[in-house]
Amino acid sequence: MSASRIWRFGAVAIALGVAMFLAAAVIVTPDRSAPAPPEGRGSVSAAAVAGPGDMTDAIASLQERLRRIPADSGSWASLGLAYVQQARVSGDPSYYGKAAGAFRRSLRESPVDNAPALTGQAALAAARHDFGRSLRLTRQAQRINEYDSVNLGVLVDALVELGRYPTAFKELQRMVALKPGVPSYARVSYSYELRGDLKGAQFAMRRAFKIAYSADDKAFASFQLGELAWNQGDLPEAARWYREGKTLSPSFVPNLYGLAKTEAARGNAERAIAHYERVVARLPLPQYVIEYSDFLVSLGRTEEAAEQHDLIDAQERIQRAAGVNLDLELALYDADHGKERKALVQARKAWGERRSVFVEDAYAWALHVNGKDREALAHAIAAARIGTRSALFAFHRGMIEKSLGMVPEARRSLQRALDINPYFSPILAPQAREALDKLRQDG
Amino acid sequence: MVAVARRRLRRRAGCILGLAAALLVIPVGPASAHPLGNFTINHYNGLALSLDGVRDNAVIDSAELPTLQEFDTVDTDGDNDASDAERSTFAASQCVVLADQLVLRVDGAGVPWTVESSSFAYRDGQAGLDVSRLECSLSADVDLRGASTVSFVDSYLDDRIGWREITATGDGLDLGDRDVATSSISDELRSYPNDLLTSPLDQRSVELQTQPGTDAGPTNLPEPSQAGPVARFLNSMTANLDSLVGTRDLTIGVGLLALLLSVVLGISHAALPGHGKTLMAAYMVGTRGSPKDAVLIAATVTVTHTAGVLVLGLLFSASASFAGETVLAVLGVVSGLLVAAIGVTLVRAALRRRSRSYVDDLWGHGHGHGHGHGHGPGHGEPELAPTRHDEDHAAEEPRLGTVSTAVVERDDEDQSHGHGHGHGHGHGHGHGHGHGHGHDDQAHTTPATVDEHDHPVGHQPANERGYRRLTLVGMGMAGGLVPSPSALIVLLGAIGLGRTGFGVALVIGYGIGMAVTLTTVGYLIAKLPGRLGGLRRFSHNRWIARLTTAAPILTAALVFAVGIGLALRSAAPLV
Repeated sequence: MSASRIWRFGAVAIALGVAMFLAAAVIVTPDRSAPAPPEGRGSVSAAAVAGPGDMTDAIASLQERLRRIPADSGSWASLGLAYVQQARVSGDPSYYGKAAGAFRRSLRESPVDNAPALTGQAALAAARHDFGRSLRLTRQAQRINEYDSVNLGVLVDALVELGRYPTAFKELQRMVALKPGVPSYARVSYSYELRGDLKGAQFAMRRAFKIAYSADDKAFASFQLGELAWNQGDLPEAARWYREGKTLSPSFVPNLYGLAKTEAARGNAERAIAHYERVVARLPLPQYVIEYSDFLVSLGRTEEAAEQHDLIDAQERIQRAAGVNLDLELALYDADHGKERKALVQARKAWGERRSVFVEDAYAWALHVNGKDREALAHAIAAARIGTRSALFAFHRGMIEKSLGMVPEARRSLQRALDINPYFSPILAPQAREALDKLRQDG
Repeated sequence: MVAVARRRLRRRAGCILGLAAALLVIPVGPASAHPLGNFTINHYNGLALSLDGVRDNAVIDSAELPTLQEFDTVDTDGDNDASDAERSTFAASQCVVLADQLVLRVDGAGVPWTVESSSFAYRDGQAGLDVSRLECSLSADVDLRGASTVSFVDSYLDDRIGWREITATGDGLDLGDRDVATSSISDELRSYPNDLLTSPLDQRSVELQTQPGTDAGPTNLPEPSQAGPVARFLNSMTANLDSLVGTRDLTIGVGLLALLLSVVLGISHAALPGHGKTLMAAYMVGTRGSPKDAVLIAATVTVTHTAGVLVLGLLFSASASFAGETVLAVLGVVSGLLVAAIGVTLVRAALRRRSRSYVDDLWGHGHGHGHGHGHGPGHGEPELAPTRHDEDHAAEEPRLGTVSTAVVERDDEDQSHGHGHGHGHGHGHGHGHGHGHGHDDQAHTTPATVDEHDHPVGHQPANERGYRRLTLVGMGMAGGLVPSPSALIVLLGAIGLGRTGFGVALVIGYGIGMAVTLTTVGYLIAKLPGRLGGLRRFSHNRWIARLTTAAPILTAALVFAVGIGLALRSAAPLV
């Protein structure tokens, strides 16, 4: 056989081989890009995504590999990220220390142009609410490798948290173009939601749900869809998604929390309490505990609520002792529970660091409860600057306007809050109704 | 393990990276007083088994938040102080609750615990909060004088996060093999190991096979060195290559060394079972193939394999969602079906020839056989018995396809899976049918023309030669389709370290190494039958003649069966 024939057969073999591989890959590969939860639907805590089981496997194999090849800086960076994620999934912060160690080790092994370690450190900084640092680190990583969709995701999150929306959405556009998938779709959904386009948000999140592969990823998207429905006051739709998510991944707490609040909104107090009890027993995040205690207060069960208040105080003390930026919910909680000064100090500090619409809103409310309504109104208006449809924002603004004697504006704002989601809070929604009635009588 | 780790790494890493990019605002306590976080409830069960009973020293260490959550249960009089009396009452009742959730079974039958003693104490935690420690001494009367199965499951608060540790000791009892230690690595939840490469323990259950005697302790460090010397050598070379790829400073010298090592690995890899060497031997001998044919097959195998590794590697690293295992399994199936198809053509040829009593090239296969497999043993199989190699082939190929999660373990694990026996003979004799494979192949595609041409290979028309070459390419592809794990490791390793170009160079080096081996083998096969042809004089022996007449059919059938077997085995994980 001549040499050229051999080459021709070689080429045929290559072509066939490649074709078979691709065919096999296309046929059998389900799309299972991992989702990245965007930051909590406005309020905090989008909670975690990957099942602890998946993550544990990943961590074990990375650890095993690094025991064999300790110089593999890439694996150290991946392990660090796995630890960050594990901390988020389980709520177990001991992993943050390990993550920090792993990133340091990665950088020691490969000190120059180690983009993955920088991305990891950025994700860790974000988890610790240090978004300024997170942004700096992602920008640094971006200078090394601007085509890493993961880094872009962390970058987008940091920009959103810092309130730099136009830049955030521009980078998000790049991220989607670079790697369409659950992580980018989830962020697109969030970007629509922030701008008040709930239909767009639902569309993007449905897509994310559709292409998500693992049960945990689907459960996450399901929760977000539930939240989108909830935020419009659509209880049946919200409950449907939460239930679906709970079926998909029973250990994923947020869906249980979603069911708890829909039961509460429907007036099924005992079922709501049973759900809430399980939620706070599994994962006593401030948001869950605060909403549970608010619900107990709304039922007049103050003694049980007091127990939850103790828990919230403890969370706050721990966060302060650990030197991390307090959750915004805790600042809002303080504002509503007789610790107005503390709330203002905390909110002002947050506003000094980042100007997201959520910080604007919390700062406005903290100013309001401290009697600084003029200043408060400016921030309440700033909170609406990108058109976010939030019942809580509208309620805060309405109450501030009411204090300032701006009756028509206050009526419009409070009505808007109740139109968006009549169940937005077991305590505040009745207050909104009461204030509105009063304004109507006066007017 | 590297492959496993690597593959998972790749798959997960993307996953993790994606996930980690989220912003999840969970309270963070980097300086947390409790090493395992403020939410955790940590469990320890120290099981002590003796001939007449089981004792459990159960400890529950609760971090700040759960301690606070249960405070009102402890402080029954509501004076905001947990007195000694309140604490001991709580300890007693809580130990009963705990004992209820610690399920002990002896030979399947549940055994209740008795609470012997209990204590509950607070210690200072973070931010002026307390942490607490509940200790329960439990016992159960059981008779373990005979061989028994003792199982233990801790389901207390099983949805809360925390460290979960079980230890087991035997007094006068051999507890057999198990995966729990004899002593606590956390000093019974007093000091948690803090190592970057250790995750919190999560031991929720244990099963012990007990019998009177002395306990040898757990032998849970498997790594059974079943690999033969050659496999061990290859493994260590792979590890060397891996660490070379991972060196911080990649100098030209190190790079060249790694490249050389990858060529050597390719050479040795091709010498291992699989890669269509046996099939190639069968064809070469049967068709009196030329060295050129050998080059063609070798080139096909190498090119298919290299392309496969590159494509698979790219897919792995490009997509977090890539289900590599499944793809490998599918490729295993395709490879098996190709072999089966070739088996079909062999059977048909053999059946046709049988009537004509071709005794012709019998002895030729004999050689082909010998040579074809000479390489087999490299695969961690010290013995060189020819039949065994063939088993190796059989065992090897499907595993390549199915080893989804355990690519390299294959090398350490015994090869004694020995399914598909006789496979090798199959090839060995497969050649028996002598010439005219060209027709067979043609028969395969265009049956009608089969019997019309029965010329020796050399006289085949050009288009038949084309068919034959396509068959050769098909064989080569069957052999090279399922990528070599070690090449994949090297590539993924390099990609993981940001040295993609270097990794591709290594894989090509690997492919060159494979081509060297396969061409050499093919060349030898092509050359040898001619020289040893003299052996054919034995064919006057009637028995040998008969045997040799039947052998082609049997062996062709075996090739077919093995192909189907390979396909089925590869398909197993797909179902």
